[in-house]
Amino acid sequence: MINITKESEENVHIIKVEGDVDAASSIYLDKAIGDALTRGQKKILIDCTELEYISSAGLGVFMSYIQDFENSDSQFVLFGLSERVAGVFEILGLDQLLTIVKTREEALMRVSDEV
Amino acid sequence: MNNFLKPVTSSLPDIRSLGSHLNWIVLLLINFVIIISFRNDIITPEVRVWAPHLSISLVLIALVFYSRLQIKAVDRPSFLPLLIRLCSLTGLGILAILFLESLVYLFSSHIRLFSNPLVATAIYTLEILAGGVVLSTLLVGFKRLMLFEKTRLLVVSWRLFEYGLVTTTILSLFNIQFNTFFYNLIFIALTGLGVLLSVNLKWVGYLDFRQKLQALGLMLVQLLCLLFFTWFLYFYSSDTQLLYYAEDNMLLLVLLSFSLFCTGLSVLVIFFNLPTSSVFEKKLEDLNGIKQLQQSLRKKQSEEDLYQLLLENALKATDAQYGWIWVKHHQGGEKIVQSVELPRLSVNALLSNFTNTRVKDGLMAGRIPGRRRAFHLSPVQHPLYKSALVIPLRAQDSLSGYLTLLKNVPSGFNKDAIGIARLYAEQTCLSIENLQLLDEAIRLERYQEELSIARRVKESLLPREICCNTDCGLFVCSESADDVGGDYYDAYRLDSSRVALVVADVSGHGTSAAFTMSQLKGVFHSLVPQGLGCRDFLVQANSALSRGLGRTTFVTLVYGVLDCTSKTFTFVRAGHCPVLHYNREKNRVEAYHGKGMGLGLLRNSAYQEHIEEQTICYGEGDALLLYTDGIIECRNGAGEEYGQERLTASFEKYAGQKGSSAEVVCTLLMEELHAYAGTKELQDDFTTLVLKFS
Repeated sequence: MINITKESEENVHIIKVEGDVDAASSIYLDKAIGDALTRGQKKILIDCTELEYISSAGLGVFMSYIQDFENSDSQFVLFGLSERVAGVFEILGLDQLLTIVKTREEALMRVSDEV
Repeated sequence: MNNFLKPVTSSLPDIRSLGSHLNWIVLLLINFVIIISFRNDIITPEVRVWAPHLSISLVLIALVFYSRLQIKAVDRPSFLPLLIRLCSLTGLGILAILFLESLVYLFSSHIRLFSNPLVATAIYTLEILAGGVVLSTLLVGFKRLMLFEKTRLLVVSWRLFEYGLVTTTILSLFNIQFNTFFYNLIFIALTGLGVLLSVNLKWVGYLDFRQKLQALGLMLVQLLCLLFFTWFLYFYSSDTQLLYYAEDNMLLLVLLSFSLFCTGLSVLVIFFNLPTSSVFEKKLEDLNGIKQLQQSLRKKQSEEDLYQLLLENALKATDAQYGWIWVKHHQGGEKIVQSVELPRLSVNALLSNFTNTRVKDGLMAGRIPGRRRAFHLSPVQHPLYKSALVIPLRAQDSLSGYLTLLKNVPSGFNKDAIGIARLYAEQTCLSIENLQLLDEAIRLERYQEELSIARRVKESLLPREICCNTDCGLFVCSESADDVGGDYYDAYRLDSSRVALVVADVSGHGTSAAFTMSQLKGVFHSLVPQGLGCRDFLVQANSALSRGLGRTTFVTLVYGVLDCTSKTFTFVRAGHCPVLHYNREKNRVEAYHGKGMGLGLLRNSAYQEHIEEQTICYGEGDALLLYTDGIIECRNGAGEEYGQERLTASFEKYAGQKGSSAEVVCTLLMEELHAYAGTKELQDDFTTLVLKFS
């Protein structure tokens, strides 16, 4: 099961992902990020504090947007990953391509710093 | 008359009917012979009395048999044609009598021959026979009509009646005269039985209003004809010229009385059934409606057509003036189905006239709370429509819409109307449910078929045999989940001392994973023979795959080269699970993480900055384990993952066992994994490749 909630704080768009992201539920994540990009959001944070498990399909979603973020000059930060989920990102090498931080504050700071 | 009796359907002369033709013609001749013999004194007076009756009876019986061959059993649609046939035959018979009578009337004063009793009797006999033909045909015709719905009692009583009729022929031998005690007794008994039989007029109910009117006319004509024949018999009973009187023939009289009763009763029954025929027609229409709905399922009509059919039938069955169906589609979205024959009115405007606010609000919102099966609303505040019927439609236990019907009288829907409308609604829902289930089954079937193709493709991509150096044993265990994953392994001999190995995992499942795997196999076999270093291999593979992989697809793998001269395993890890090395000397397992990135993650030249080549030097008794993430992500009943730690510990335990081969280590690991997962089926592909050095 997956639950995605979106909130906007000033010009920061936060997508909170809860539960398991598998092959079936990854399409919702894909849509949420895609929507944010098409609406021209420049600062997108992904809240992974409640993310239990992510399959290769879910990782594929993040991977597929890396180029788009670079092209549109958007900032994209993940935060609150559990140790296990972080390990999955790390093994794949996705941590070298995405900005991953520990806490929400850190993430907010990261996007405001770089303005 | 013979021509008339011939069946229209068969033009071939039927031998049996030919036989019966002969039969009654011969009997007719005998009849005449007997009449002529009255003149002579060959025949004794006793014989004179019974012989004509016997022969007439025999002729009548022969006629009955003949009619039975001519008139076949009937069913509902052929009632009216049969009635027309019977009536016209009766008319023809009476016309024949009238014709003969007019001949006698015209010529009796001029030609002396007609005043001869013998000639008069002959003409009388001909007339009686014409009547006999009519009566015997009517007997068979009514029998067919009454027996179209057979019951045992009815069949038995008919047989009894027929035996009785035959018996009267024998009675005529005993010279029983008309209006004597015995004659009356037998006559009343047989006529009574005939009356009892003639009450069975169920066929009348199956005629519709038009047909009933026609049948009434036909029966009235027939009744008049029969009454005329009765009067004719009565008239001649006082003629002293005649040598015998037909009313002494009991068979003829019984047939006449039976025909009279049947026709008279039919007239009455048809007449009194006229006002109720619309009820019966309505019920038939209702039944036809259900039949139509059921057939439409077999024809595999669309949902839209089914709703349209339901609406038309419900409008007809309840006599409602207006109606519509509000449909909620299971994919989302809603639609209003209105009859094509009625003007399209605004449903919301009509709804606003409902006085029952709960139902009104429910219909507007598309959700009436509760599980009631029908709502009869009266009154409705509308200039035209005074009452409404709302029936929820439920398919697969969830609401799929509402049928709403409007009528121009208050409390316009009685219990029957509600019942039939509900029946239609349920039938339609059932049809729609079946339609949906069928669609689902087809989709599932197609998916299964795709999966089985993908599985076959995948199996054909994995190598049958795998080569290795002489200083080590190699064993692979690979198991697939039902839903095809994308684990791949292969080996390639570079030269006498070097072997290239790969263990890979393609992201995603199903058919797409199988296709990605085939790309990977192509890339592996085209790059490896070029003798590239591990790092270059990965860069080239990334570049090749990046052009072919889907947007969200990537591949993780470990590619390495085993060299038995330098006793090294040089490898790169492309985002794959770390390689585990069991060191015999230290009796410890070491995991080689190193820097690495999945293929397809970074689809440009920057990729090479994210990978690192590593080398493991192995000694005797050492072991290596290459595996896919299905192993560490395997969950037990409690949802807990097997994990890296458990795998490391188990590998250390099994690889450290003295003399254990690669096969033993690999098998033990898989067994442990299955024990951990329990009875649950595999969620992912499992692949373990074990190398054991000697």
